[in-house]
Amino acid sequence: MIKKSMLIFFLFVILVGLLVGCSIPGMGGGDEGDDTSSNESSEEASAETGGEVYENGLPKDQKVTLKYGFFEGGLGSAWVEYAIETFEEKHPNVTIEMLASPDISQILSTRISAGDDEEMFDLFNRDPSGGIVSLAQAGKLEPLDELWEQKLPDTDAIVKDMMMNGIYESVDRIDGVSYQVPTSASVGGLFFNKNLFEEYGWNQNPQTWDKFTALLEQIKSDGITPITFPGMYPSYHDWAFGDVESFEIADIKGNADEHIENYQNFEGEIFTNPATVERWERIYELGKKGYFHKGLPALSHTQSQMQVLQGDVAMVSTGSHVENEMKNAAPEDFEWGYMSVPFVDSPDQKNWVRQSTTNGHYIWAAKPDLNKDWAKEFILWMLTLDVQLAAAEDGGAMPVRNDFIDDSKRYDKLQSSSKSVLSYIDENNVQLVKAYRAIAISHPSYDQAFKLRDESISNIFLGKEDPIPLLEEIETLIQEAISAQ
Amino acid sequence: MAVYTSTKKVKRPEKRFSLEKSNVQRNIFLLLAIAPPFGGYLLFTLYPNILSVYYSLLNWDGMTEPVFIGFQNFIAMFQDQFVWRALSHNLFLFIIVPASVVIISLVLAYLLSYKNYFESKFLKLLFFFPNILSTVVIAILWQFIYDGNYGLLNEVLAFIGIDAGNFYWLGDERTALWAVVPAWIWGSVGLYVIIFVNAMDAIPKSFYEAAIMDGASDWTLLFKITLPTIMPIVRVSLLFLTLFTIKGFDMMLILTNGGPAGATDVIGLYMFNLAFGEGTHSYGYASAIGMLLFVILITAKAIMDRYMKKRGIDY
Repeated sequence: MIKKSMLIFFLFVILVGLLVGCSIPGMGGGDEGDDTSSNESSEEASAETGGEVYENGLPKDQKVTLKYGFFEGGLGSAWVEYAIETFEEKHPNVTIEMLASPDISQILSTRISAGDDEEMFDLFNRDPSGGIVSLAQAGKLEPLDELWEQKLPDTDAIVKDMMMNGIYESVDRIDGVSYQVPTSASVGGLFFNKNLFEEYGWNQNPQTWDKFTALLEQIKSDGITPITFPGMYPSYHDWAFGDVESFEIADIKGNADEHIENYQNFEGEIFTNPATVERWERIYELGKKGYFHKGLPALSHTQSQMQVLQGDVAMVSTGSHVENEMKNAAPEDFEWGYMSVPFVDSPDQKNWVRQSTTNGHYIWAAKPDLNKDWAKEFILWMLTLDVQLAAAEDGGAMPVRNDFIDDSKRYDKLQSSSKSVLSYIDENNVQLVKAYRAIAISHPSYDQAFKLRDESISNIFLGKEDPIPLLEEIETLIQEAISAQ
Repeated sequence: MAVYTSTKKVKRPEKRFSLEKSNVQRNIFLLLAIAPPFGGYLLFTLYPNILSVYYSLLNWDGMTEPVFIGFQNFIAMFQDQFVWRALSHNLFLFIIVPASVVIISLVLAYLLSYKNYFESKFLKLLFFFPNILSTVVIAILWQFIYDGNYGLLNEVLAFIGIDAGNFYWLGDERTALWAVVPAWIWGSVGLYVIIFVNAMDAIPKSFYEAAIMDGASDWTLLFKITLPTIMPIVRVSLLFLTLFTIKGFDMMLILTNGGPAGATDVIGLYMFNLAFGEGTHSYGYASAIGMLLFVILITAKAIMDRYMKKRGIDY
């Protein structure tokens, strides 16, 4: 009798447990529509009562709370706190609850996997682990094409007309639709100690491959290692020597458009196409000549950047956020210089430079319309010159507004790394571009292909491993994954 | 007789009722005490683990609709060179780390317990110190030790006349995995020293007194009394260390991120990066590797149970 009652009780506990489980995010339970319905009904009520609206047409009398997932990287978060504060001041009915974290990608992935739209962020400024392609194709992200056509809050011009060269053109597009509007940029390349370069009289703007290799030889002969990057995180090589440089080589050969289209859609040869092979061969040649720091496989990104601050290495492959990231370690008079790696033979050829939309914002499609409208307004707010200045001054962000540098006082407030990038863009035939994939592939061979590539990077850069057999092996794996789709 | 019988009949059910009531109360108390943790175990341990079995049969990125692919992930896993390489690194660590930690901890515990050093209490605290540090701190500390430019190791080697130049111990495929071992051992020893010291202190002094009167030497005391007596604790410690060596990866993640060129990649780190890596998000494939890890851990536990003496000396 007692055993039976114990059994019944345990079964009851299990049942309750599973019911609780089913009500936790992503397990199919919960009332996920509450938020939506409450906002929609309040919107209808506002329309009926003829409530006041802002100049953007959104109601003043409906309280909205936006959940904001913010990637706190090299730019810090002080400037975005300023953006939120000023936005809330102007729109008292809107509250923005920000979760700032360097691990926001993983937090996003977890929330997305949980499948609870109510718990999900309204907007976020970082790709979740695994990228956004599958999300966009599943209709989880709000298309933002129309946002590019909207007027900015502090000018009559529309967003896309006020963007710096290359930002609108190279923003990620999945099946032709853009789901992201960047609010600041980080330009990639080689960043260096300007004072050191001046002291040795090194060329700060080699415009061709030959001049670049001559510079590396000169630096080496002066007893300093020319280049470093954090081999522990091999993706950092991409800032200066990455896929965008293959675009540049393809452009020299006259097939940039075809190459980029193939790149985005995983068509043709992915790793063994002529431009990519040539890029890796050139890197391998540099490696054999000893132009990269021997300890790079063991370096984290701060360690590699410290090498430049300490004068042990001349240049580091990273983004323009480097100055803000290292500001506490850099000497007071330290000034960052910048150059892109020119794979070109002549200064007249286009110099392709990686631009990363560090603060490319996405909006979660399943959120209530009012939340999405306010999220879009907040993105526009971050594009105002006032917030752009705060991001540039406090975070070292590259502004995305093309009228930012029209005002010399504003320009003066930029950090030295941003100034160097802007001056480099001004002096050279630069094409800013972001390399992205428009196709998502989920297959073990895909994971293995990129793992093999990442693990080989340090050895290729150190001239220890011929890239050709490796690229062929990687190509076999990636083609296996593509054909399995 | 009838009255006697009647009295008995009236009293007996009362006693039984009282006994039953007490049993019911006891069982309710037991149920209330056990149910919450048992429910938590079902919900937060068993349920996710069962789900993982299901996930391992899917092609799923955690974001979009999963596709059932049967045993394809397992087939891919057995053909995956990175899985076998990672497991070989786990095997290396399994051979070196648990045994080293237990031996070093036993030696230190014995010295602290029986040598009555004046500073024993301070030393216990000192040995335990790494355990209050997070793995992140330990890893960064050892990163500095192994750094080629300003690392302590190269300085010490130079001091004793060995010129290692600017060698980066974690940056070379030949030395990286070996270099991880001291960091791992250093981070683990303190806890086991404390466990073994307390186990040794609990052994009745009369054992030693009797043995000493019989003329036993220090070695006899150690190998005939101390070690056999604390053997169940050593066995459990070895089990914990073995399981952690097979599934742990936090030290690798921070110290080397699996590099250089995968020289320190272990199965847990590979699985983690497949599920939560920057470029990939393969829940299904990572879950299949998780299943393999589960089988390895169960096998390791079974082998240890089978071949290690379970009982110590009762006293």
